[in-house]
Amino acid sequence: MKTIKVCIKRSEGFKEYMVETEEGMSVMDVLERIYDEQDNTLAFFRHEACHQEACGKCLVRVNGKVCLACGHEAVEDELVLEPWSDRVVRDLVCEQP
Amino acid sequence: MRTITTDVLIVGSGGAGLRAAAAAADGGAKALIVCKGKVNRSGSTLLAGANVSADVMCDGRSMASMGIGIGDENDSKEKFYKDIILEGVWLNDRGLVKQYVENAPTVIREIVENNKNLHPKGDDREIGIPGSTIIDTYYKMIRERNVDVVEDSSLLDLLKASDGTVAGALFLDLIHGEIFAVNAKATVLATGGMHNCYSFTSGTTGLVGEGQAAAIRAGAEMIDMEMVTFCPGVITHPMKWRGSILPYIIHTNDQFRLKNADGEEFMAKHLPQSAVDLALHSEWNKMLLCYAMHKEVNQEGKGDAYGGVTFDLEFKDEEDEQAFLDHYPFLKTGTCNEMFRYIKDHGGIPVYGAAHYFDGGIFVDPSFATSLEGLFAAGECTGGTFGSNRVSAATTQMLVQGLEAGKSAAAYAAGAELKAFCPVCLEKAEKDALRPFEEGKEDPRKLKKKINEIVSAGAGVVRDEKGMTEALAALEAQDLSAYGVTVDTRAYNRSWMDWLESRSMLTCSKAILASSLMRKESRGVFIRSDYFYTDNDEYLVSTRYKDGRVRLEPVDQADVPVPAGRLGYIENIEDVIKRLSYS
Repeated sequence: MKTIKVCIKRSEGFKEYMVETEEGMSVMDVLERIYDEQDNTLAFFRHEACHQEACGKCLVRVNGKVCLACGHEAVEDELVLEPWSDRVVRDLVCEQP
Repeated sequence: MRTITTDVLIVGSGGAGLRAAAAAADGGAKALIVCKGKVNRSGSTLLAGANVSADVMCDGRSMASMGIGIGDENDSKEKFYKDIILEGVWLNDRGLVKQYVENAPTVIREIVENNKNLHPKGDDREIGIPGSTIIDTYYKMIRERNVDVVEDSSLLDLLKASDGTVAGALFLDLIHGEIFAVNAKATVLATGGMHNCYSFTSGTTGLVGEGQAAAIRAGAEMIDMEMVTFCPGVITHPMKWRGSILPYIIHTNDQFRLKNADGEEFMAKHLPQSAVDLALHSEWNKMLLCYAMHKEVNQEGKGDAYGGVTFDLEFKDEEDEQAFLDHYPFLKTGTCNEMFRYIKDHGGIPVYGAAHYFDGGIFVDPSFATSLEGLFAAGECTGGTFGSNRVSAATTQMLVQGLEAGKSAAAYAAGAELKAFCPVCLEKAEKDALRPFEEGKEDPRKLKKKINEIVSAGAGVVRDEKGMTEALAALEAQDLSAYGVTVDTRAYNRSWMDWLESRSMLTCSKAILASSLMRKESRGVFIRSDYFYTDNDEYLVSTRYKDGRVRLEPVDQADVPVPAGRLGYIENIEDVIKRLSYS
């Protein structure tokens, strides 16, 4: 268990969350935890997500690098999460390619 | 409201939806797919066989004719047909099984011919290929046929014409929040399973039974909704892999062990030796392993920190391990390799039984027409094909049924005219979808969790009268109007999606529980602790759910002899297995 700082680029600007994480959590799991426990206004891709790096739809920019939210393990002490493209719909959700 | 018109509307883009769309186009219809995710990367199909090895099946003789070095000349369609009915413990709709057996070689040939570089492994009746390969095959097929596609859109309701015919459907563009309609001469539902009614599932996040729920609201008849298959080797932890069925895919007779929190093997405690053998050496392992796991965790209280048990692999020596890896080469790279290393390094990986496949669903005839005029359905959202237990492949099911449903829908559309929506239906469907903006304030995610808890407790691996009655009452007590959006925008509004998904889950869950209560016996995947026997005198029947009521319909017992009387649940399975052609 450790507490990490997660900065998320929302449509209105950056917002910071402190999140308790455990080993084996993905960025997707971290986002779920934030939505569940802290902020149920956050938008991130999850409506038809495979969670298994197969559908390729949960793209997000993690610490500057575009990757799949479900495939990136949240091992860092600080995460900066931004939309993966500049065609933002809301918060981390972008127009689908 | 924006309205798209087409001849045939297909809802869903897994194997069933894609195959239906291609068949509808071949039948001369203008076809449109509307799917919840990405057309070639959503639904159950993608995760079939953990996207490394999904079984696709036909009879061994037809398989031998494919020229891929697999098959059995001595097998026949007749044997395959009878085996499927035995596997389903005599509840299968014979017409649907015949259609499955007859068309299975066609779809396998399509896959083999479209993937020249594929060297599928398999045995007499099956080949194992990644789910994505199946999807890619049929995605190519719909592109070649210029099928129109609308992605990231969720089914809200079926829409009827004034004469009661289904004339299309209402959808929500989840990304932008726009509600739009599709007006069609025929509609095919191919929306997959109801996985997310349960808290632990092997499905994608979007599988909530939207097609089934919309069909129920429109007054369609459902069949065998109580039949839910649980998969025993699904990862519960680490969180990032939760829901993966990889352990199940690699469970083999010799190396795999299931252990409780104390590190003890427990199968023999809950099953007689003959059933343990069946669980370890036959395709019937899903229900038997889940039953033993359930007993160990819930009765003995020996579950692990994640509410399940440990899946471990034990190798005799390095040679044994190498042979294992050669047998499952996908374990050598990528995430599968990480999972394999985890099992080795941690003395196993936590697993439990997850809601995995729905044997019941929308009632269809062998042309895949539902009980509603203008509405067809195919794949996992339908019921009846596998009776009380699917052993044969769901991938084959989705493809053969999609093929037939698309054909039937095109033929229907050719003789039909486009009918205007009944204005009252359209207005009501839109108003219903917007309720969470007008009504309650509670986060609908809480409702989803409640439904999950109720259904998992009341309609899990082992059920009883008290638990199911309480669960149904608890579902009836849930009030959608207490819940509403947490943010007042229509664009990618998670709480709106959660509300809509809760609505589907509630509808489906009530049907599952109400149907379960009507079956006072155990059969196939349906296990009751208070009726732990299979009753062929009273329950060679399918449950039919319609408008909130359940009736029992005798299943025509053609072609496969069935013994009279009652037999203990396990004894009956043993007896059925003896009757199979492959046992």
